[in-house]
Amino acid sequence: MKPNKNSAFQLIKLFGLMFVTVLISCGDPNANMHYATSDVPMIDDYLSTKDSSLTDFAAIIEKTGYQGTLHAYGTYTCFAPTNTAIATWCQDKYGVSSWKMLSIDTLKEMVRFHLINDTISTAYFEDGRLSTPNGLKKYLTTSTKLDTENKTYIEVNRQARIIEKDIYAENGIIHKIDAVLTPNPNTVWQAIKSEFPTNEYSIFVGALEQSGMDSILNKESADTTWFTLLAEPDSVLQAAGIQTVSQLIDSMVVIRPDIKLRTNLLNLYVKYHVVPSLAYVADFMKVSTEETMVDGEVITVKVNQLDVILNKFTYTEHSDPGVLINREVDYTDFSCRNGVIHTLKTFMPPRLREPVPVYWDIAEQPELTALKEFRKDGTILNFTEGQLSEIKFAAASSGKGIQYACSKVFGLKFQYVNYDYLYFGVNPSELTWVEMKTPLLIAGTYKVWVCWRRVDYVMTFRTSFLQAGQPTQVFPNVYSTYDYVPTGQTEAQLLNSGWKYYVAKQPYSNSSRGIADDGKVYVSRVLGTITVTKTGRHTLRFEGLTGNNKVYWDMIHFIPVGDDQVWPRFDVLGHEIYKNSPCNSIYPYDQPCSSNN
Amino acid sequence: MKTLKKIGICFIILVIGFSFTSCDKWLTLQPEDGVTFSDYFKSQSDVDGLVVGIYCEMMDAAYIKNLFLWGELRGDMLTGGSKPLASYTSVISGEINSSNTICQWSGFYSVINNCNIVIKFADYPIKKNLDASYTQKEADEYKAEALAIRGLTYFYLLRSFGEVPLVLNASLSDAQKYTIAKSSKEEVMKQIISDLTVADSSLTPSYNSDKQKGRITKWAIKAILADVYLWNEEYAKTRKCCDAIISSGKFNMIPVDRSLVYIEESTVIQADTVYYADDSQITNLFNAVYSTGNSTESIFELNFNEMKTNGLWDLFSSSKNVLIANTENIESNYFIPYMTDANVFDIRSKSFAYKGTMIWKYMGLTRNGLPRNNAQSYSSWIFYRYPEILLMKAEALIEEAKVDSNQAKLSMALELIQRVRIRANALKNTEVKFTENNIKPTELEAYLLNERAREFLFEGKRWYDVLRFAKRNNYENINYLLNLALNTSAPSEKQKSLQTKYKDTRSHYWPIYVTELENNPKLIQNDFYETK
Repeated sequence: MKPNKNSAFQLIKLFGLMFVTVLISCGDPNANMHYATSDVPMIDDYLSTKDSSLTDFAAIIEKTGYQGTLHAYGTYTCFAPTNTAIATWCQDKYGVSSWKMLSIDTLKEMVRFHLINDTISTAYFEDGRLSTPNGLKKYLTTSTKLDTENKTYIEVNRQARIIEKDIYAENGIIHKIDAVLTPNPNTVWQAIKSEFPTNEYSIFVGALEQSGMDSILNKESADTTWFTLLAEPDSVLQAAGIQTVSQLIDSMVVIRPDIKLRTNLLNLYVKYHVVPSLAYVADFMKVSTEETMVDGEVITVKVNQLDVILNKFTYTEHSDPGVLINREVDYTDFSCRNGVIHTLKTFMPPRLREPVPVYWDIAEQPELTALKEFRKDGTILNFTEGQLSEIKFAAASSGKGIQYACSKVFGLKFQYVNYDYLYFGVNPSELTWVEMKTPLLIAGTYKVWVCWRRVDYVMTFRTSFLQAGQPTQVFPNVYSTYDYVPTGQTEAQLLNSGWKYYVAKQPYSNSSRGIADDGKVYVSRVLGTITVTKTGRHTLRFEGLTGNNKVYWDMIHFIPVGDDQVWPRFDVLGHEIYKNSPCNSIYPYDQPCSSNN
Repeated sequence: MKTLKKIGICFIILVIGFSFTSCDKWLTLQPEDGVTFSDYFKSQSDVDGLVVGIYCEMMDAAYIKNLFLWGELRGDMLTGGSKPLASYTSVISGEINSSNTICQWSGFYSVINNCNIVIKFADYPIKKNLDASYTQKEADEYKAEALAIRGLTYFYLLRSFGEVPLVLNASLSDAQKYTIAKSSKEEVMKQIISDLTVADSSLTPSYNSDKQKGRITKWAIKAILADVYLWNEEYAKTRKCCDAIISSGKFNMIPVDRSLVYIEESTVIQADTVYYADDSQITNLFNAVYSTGNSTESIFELNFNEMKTNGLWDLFSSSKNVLIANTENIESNYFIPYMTDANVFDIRSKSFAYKGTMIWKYMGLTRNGLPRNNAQSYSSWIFYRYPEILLMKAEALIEEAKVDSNQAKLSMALELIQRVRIRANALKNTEVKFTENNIKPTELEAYLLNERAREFLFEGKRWYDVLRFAKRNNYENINYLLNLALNTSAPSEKQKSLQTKYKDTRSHYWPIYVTELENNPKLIQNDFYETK
């Protein structure tokens, strides 16, 4: 039979119709969308009406007067313990049958420990601590774990399991948990002494006791005093041939023959294992050095896949594989009232340190890194005087301040390292002066380079370096933000006149404006040389001279005078890029490079 | 002529498809029950048009993109480009949930439904005596094509979701509710094998042999079956399928000659040697397999054309820049560059599988030319190439030797791997030396997995490969997945939890997309993704 054209077409038509209907269900296309805000409950409503196993927590919130908070618009994360969990907590901790028998202060503290003023869905959980502290200013830890049937679950604060996650309320997110979270009442000292297995940490605990560090680590916590203890279990010390505290001191004699007193040697060892701030593993992963309680001595940090490696050296004549934080054991990320304890995998002797280059992305401010929006695409945040603890400034008029921005778009003009920058002017009409607390600098002599994106207006500024107890070092150079990197010069010629390129990819060129191909907007200029007399964090001061607009500031490099001043450069992901790296190994791999790589 | 017709039909269906996407009331006035529909099956050419329609449906972005994404995104070879999509980067970080559009399987069920229609109605014109020249054998062959594609499509669904609903009847009208519960993995596997073996027995080696590689042939079915049996750990059957293809003599690896070169400063006696591959032959290979398509080493592929372009362009083009090659991993683990001489390279690496970081297998108009523009985006999707037949056979031999420690099988497997490596001018820095008569099956297996990573880079195989190797013998080798987690471009603060998740085997399969759950109350979510 001859095919009937008409029927064939109809067939095809119907066929087309059918496959469409497989894809799309008919009906109200808006049926599953939420337009009104009213049909999503507030956190407190959800707890009291939507889940009958959370009513006790809802009642506690009401009794403690936090209902007002949780019924208002806001951005909260609420870890909600079940009724059973609360009953168990009352019985086990207080020996009472109901939360109604507990004091209002106890309940208030309990509620605040479960609330975070930020919306953190489980997708934003990092391995370690959450990005924002809770209402008692403590960080909650989370980790993904496996149960006995090899099923994953998320554990919070080593105390509770999330049994229902990511419940979206109008003003935040609820995670339902099977146990009440409680702050560790023990100090770092009490914890390692009483909560750690005694026979596994005896030498280290003995060293803490003999050195008198125990009383320091036992200090009552004011909100500002934190300790991070890097503990070495007996097995680790024994592997290094150390059986007793006395042998520990013997081993120190070899490392520091210049120190004669045995108590000083012990002190050195012990203080070298205490970081005077709160540093969970997740925090170690974000820094290149951590300060220790030994005056002027730091621990360097490198991350390789899952490993956090302390004191790894590959660039000196005696390279050292470094010391791993043991992330497999329960005694790492161990929260205490006044700090956190980690366990090391091998013996970590104190190191005397040479100055090392510090390539500082100035957006790494504590208030910024703590935000989950930090280095997330599209973030724009404004800060006024007093909001950034480590950048002080004087605004020329109200409303002037510092903007943090991150935009993950790469382009000729968009090559900020880590995709982010601080946007502010230092001049008589924006910020008249700015003082930044530097990262930790090891004692030595450095050249200081400031890196910014060139702007189309003149702004000149002067800089100086301030060190407590030392005369201020004023840098000789006054720079204008209008200048391009000079064209047609070699790396060495540029270096001689105090210029370098610091971004790794293609420089900006704009032939329509008569600027040659190698006209550069990503500028790095040397301020001068500083002498850091004491290892520590010091201050860099910018004073505005002329101009009236803002500049995109990216990095500041402190490079020891004997070191390579030009390399590494940096890609938009913050990777160090060394000379002669193939262009397609530099992110974004498909974008061209400047001719002088 | 055939091709032209195919293009035409694809185009018409596409246009009609678009014009019907709104759910206007008047649609319900159209006749839509099965009897009316059957009236359109009047002749062989009607059926043929429907079979062609199956391929058109496979070329839809909803199908082709997921073939790629499901096979590669959870692997270690890709990373987000300069304009990443959150739905993809969250998968790379191991944060997968049921509202991620990547889990949409509707494109797969559209293909399956088209197959079901052909399976049900292919012999309708015969039964009703509507087309005297149309034979039952021809009808069975059309059904075989549909069965094979249905089997292949369920094989993708099985490997991606684990348990899926088995829809085996044609859906003929809007009114027919699509509410079928999931079947177990075993049931789905049984159906896949049944579909493919029935198809295999219905086709003769000559069926479609005059056509290009864009339609199902007996050899395509054997290749799919070989892969299915590997997944199902039936190694003797895999070998049998591979041997049938190899002995057919219809396929070969396009050769690339290479010349031995002595490295300067080494003596002939203590020679340190390298190979230069013939550059023009590398170009020929690329152009034949990936640019022109339908090469002699291809067994089954989807042929796109100017009117129906390959939607993967949307992911890789420099203007889109959504996904790029994870060169950091690729060049430190798979194609380690040979630093001292630029003429020494694995031909599958730079300017072949990827150029810069662009996924060149789909973006290269030729090996050395410009990237394809959107209108030129008709690179084939290759399901199976001859080297995979060799490597599947090698895999089967290795797994058999794990049981019987047969060194002869292991050296045969090693020889097959070497054939693929030699053609590719694989470098010494990725070679593993084995001692004759003392080949350890586990070591050879790991070597094979890496070779598959090199040979089929970006061909939609990586995640399924690693999962197959890991899950074998009741997840004897979960480490394959744990190592994969470390090499992905997931951020460092996510890698530990990603590893932990991989230890939970439920996480190896995608969640069911949220609207599917809403539309079909019988579907039960993979409980790994339950928020409770």
